[in-house]
Amino acid sequence: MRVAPTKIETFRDDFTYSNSEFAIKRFPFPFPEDDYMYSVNIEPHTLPGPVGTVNEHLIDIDEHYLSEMRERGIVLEENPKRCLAMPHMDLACWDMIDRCMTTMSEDYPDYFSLTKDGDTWHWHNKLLDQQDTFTFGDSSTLSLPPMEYIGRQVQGDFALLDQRDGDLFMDAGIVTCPADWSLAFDAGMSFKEWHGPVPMAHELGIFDRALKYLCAIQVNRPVRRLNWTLTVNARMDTSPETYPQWGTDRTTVTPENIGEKIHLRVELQVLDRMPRSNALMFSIRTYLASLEDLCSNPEWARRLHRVMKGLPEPLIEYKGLTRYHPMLVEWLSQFDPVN
Amino acid sequence: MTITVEIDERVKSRPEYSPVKLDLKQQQQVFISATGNNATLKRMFDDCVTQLGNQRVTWLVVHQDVKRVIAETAADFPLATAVYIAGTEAWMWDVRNALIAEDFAPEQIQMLAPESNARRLFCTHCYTVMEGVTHNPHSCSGCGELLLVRDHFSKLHGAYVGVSINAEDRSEIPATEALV
Repeated sequence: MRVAPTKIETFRDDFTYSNSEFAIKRFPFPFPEDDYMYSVNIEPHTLPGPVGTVNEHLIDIDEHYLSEMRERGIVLEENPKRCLAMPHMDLACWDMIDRCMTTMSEDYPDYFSLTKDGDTWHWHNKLLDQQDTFTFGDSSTLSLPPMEYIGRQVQGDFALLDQRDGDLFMDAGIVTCPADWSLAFDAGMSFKEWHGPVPMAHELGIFDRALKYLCAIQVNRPVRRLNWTLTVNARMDTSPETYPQWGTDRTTVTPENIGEKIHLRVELQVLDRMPRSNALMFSIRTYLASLEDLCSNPEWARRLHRVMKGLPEPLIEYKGLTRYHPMLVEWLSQFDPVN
Repeated sequence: MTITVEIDERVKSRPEYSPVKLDLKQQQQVFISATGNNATLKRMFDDCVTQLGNQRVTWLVVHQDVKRVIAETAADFPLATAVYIAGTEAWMWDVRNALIAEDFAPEQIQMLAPESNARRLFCTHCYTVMEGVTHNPHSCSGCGELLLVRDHFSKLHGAYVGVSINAEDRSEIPATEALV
């Protein structure tokens, strides 16, 4: 069963983050096959999903909630520009507040409650011990700008994509745990522009097809995909902004510590149409698990070996694995002796 | 089944500047540059005057304060206006963004090939913006990081992104190369 979010762990310095057995069991393992290659791996996010899984609810609140909200606060204090919303995205931000508060209070009544009296809303976040009364749609009645206000209460990064001229634009977001992309730089970019640095996928036609699919998403018909990379230590904030602080982590990997140091970083990406603004809410919910924990599952261990061994060179480079990739494959081979 | 795909290593956010063509159907023709010295733009302007006469053609030199000057000038142009811009890359994007802020549509605006390889660089660590960067790597004037000048481009900033080239190992200092 779900583990209540009571602990506060760190994603930096002493890295006290760890997963319960339940969290490991429900980890969104992203490799359905022994080979990995890009595909348009988007599927309907039918809710509610299977009980206890990360797909059960639109917003997955798990045992790391308090830790992740604390980490978000630290990042925003260091750099407030990790959250931004262009003026024309105000309505979309309120759409997001509505969608998050409504589903969170329905899905987790023990943690959150929402009461509405016309446009006067009362929100109680019991996990953060926070209560607010505000006028829906009136940003002056919130203690923070709407994107930051709601973003500080939900796990995962969020972007709001404005849809116009058959394209999607990165016009608002709160991004404190990205896998190496900068909201401040990518702000305002179109779908293909912000994916500009991704190797190979353009040529495979991935982005043409994905964009067409995403532009057609309807209200209450969210879709999802998984994305992955590897991260040294349980570091949530692997942003380009802070790269000078975490770049050296990649040189600390040894055959002795690789199992506990390297974490599979999986993003559950959900795209959900906002009813008032027609924006897409793009949530990027990051799950971290050490290789050691993942390899307690023999099937996952074997598959990890095969996937990492067969990874194309451009992807090794793009995902920043170059320094330790051979060591990684060697370490994983213990779980897959026939390969 | 094996599918062979041609890999194009170009970063797709980097703008490509296709040849500029006069759009004589538009009521007003506006040629904008920072110096007034761009030979290609001047030739296009002369061609346009020959075909349409003086009234419908404007030659505009914007030395500085792009946003203010464009906001003041653009109000006088009719809805059916074609704009041609020549200059350094970052400056051209400033002009374009200023025009779009005045409700111009992107298809009304054409940019010539940039006058040089100099780039505006956005430091992804401290957000400092540097002008006229011609070599890679480039030392950030804000935080001092030695930056890899990437081809990933933001139209909004008119800038390329710079990211630490040796954050993983400070002893790695690559040779300096001219940007293309």
